[in-house]
Amino acid sequence: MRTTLLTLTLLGLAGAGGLLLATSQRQPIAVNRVAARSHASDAPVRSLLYAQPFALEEPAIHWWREERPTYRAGWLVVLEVDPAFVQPTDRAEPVLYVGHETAERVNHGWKCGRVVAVVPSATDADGFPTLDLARAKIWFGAPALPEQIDATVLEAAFAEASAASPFSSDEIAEARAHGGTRIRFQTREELDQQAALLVAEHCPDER
Amino acid sequence: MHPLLLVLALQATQLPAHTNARPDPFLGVIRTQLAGHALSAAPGFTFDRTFVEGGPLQVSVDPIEHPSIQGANGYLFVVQHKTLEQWINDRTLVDARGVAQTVWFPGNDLAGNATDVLFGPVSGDAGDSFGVGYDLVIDLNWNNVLDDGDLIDGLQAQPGLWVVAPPQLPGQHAVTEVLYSGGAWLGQDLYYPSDIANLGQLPVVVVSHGNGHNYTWYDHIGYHLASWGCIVMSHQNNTGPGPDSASLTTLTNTDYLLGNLATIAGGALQGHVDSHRIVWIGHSRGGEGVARAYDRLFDGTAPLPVNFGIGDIKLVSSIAPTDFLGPASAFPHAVPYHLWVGGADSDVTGCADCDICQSFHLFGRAQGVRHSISLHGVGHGDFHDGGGDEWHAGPCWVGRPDTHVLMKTELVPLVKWYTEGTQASTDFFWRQWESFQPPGEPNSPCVVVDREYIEGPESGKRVIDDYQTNTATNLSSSGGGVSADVDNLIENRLDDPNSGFSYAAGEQMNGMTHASGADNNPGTRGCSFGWSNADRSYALEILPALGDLSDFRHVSFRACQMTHDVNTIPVLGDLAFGLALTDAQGRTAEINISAYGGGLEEPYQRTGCGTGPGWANEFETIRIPLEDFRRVERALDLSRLRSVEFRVGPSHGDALGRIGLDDVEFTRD
Repeated sequence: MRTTLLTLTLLGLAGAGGLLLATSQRQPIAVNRVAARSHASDAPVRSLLYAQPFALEEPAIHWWREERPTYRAGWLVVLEVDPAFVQPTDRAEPVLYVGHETAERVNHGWKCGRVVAVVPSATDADGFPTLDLARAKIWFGAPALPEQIDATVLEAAFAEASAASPFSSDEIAEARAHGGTRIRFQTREELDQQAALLVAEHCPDER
Repeated sequence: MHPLLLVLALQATQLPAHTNARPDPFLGVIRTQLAGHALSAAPGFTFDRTFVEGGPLQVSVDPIEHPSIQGANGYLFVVQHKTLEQWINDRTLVDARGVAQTVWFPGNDLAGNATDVLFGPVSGDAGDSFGVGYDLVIDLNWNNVLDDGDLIDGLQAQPGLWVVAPPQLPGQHAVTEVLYSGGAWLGQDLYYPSDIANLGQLPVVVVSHGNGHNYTWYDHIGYHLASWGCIVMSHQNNTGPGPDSASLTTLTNTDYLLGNLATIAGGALQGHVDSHRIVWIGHSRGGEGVARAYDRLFDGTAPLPVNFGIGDIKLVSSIAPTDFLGPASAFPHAVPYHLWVGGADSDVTGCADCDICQSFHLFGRAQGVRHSISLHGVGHGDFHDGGGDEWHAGPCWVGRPDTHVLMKTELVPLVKWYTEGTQASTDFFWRQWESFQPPGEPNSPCVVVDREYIEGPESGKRVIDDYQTNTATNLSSSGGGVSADVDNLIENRLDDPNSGFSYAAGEQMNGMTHASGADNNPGTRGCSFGWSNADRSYALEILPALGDLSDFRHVSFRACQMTHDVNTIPVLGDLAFGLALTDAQGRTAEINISAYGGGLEEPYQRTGCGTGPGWANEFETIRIPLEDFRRVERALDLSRLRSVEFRVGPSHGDALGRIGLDDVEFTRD
């Protein structure tokens, strides 16, 4: 007979990320449409739904780069994507790039067509991410392991992505409005909790 | 050596033996093998070490070795195993079944004397261990005492036979499951016996999931092994970036568990975890990750764990692993390594067009003892129990429920062997599935199981040809000559030369996936040859210096049918041929490999890798007891063997075929 004791401190939501249910730090987000869509509706990356700058008191490691740099700030984004690009597989997957950086995909997004991602960034003097979304093209590159993407590979991918373009200022503004002001976390784990809320909202099947 | 020392040494060797040993108290008792099962062909009966409760169990006596037995009858006793000292202290025969069985041996040979063991089943309930030891006694004077003239299979350190509980059935413990997290990438799903407070120190099994998978998807492993007395922990695995990142979460999660026993599950595990007996099981990217984690420990690559070390890892098992990192990093070194492959896997497909999808690369690199189990019709997602697609393609899909039964059957003997040394386990690693499977296994015709089992050099095995050196086809790696008149004989790396399994003329390594272009470690090379409607031979000389094999138990090799080959397609089904041993006097004994229940399995008939059906070549280990050859040719001198020969063609089995072959050797186990 089974006896199951669930001392459920934190429950993983999806295998791809360390998603954690936790007490809510903000109100639920409702994003059902984008008024200012600037990319084609059948593009691999179709829309920027949500963008929120964040800061970390304790630096985190960006595992999705070969150099595994640490970071203290970045963007938490929600993208509407072509599900075909995010079907989970153990083979190489298309790499999601944001500007001159790889993005860490927190969820899969295969069923919901939405990807929650953490985009690390350098910071300015105020600790704000220097990555300018208005100038950053966001695209899926060739299938590869993100942990094998170094600066050279990344720049080559950037050069090859000539068709990609940044989202419009209106779309970014709308996403920023959804995301709100910069949010500070002590640790990456707290950032995960915030990301988990976004996954729960946008991809409830991945709860 | 100094001449004086040499003289002293020679004198010492000439001294009479030191004789304070007491006389054998069982001098008149006949020690012989008794337990086994009948075969469909010569030698007609073979003796076995392990039996499954409720499964076939027979006894027989060789009337040629023991002429006095012919026509004799007596009681058959199945006795709880006793050491020699215990037998000396008590010769009384007490049958574990509650009653002894009358037996009669009227036959002229072993097959004619084969008798079912009745009044069963003989219990295999060993608690958390695997296998109950028994001695078999034939009490020929009907006096319920082991004495002169009786026959015994036992009377030594090891039992005459082992009986195990069906390993796919739950063990004796209720199981507690606990979910918790120690922080980022430290989410863990823990399973342990609910009565752990009454138990000693238990081995730890760590499960590392694959990409797109979840750490809560391995209840079938967790509950099952915990019910058998293990602590199982499945953890969040950072597979998104790749298997190298995953290897770090395997390390950090193992370390976290061992370093936080005072608080995890309320401290229930405290004092009950044996951190020196750890098994790692990984799936897909996680399957590559566990091999990489071991490689990190081997290389001393930071960050290193603080609560365990490399010597604590007793087994690494990879389920459908990827091979992104290649020979330098996806490398199990000499740790015992085990591999699972699903023939219907549509993610890590094994197809020649995808180098990172060929899981057998990791097996080919392993330098220690290594196992594999290939399961036709099993998809990538069938190995877990969570949501999502099963990732399967091809005919005769097996599905999750049956796959999980097969996994449980494999896991218990495997984990018990590497964490407890249960001798009953090893039969499960190589005996043919067709003739050795626990009662209650899936009876679907889609279930096809092929296993490889290659012991490491530490086993003391004697290798005749592993094809790693002396790469000419007329010279074995052990230095002996090779004589052959088979068709298209070639030695090469076990690596399909192009991107599909379609056969093209001259493509003698078609369908091989045990090596990549970058591999050059043991196990990566082999040979292949064919035959067509004519008897042919492939004979390996055994050099005189290697020919005393009287202390060895089996002749062993691994072989496969070659997919898509013109000699394979017409005879889809198990392939049969003969194996012959010849001694220095020219005496030869030949046994057909199919006598043991199945020959070489046909390739899984899946399409999509080249034109037409046929997936990758599936090696399987064939082992034949040396004593069985002596029962075919009584005068065969196992102390002076001179050749091992593969005899193929219509007089020896299938009229045509093409096979891959590797690791021809003699083993002691």
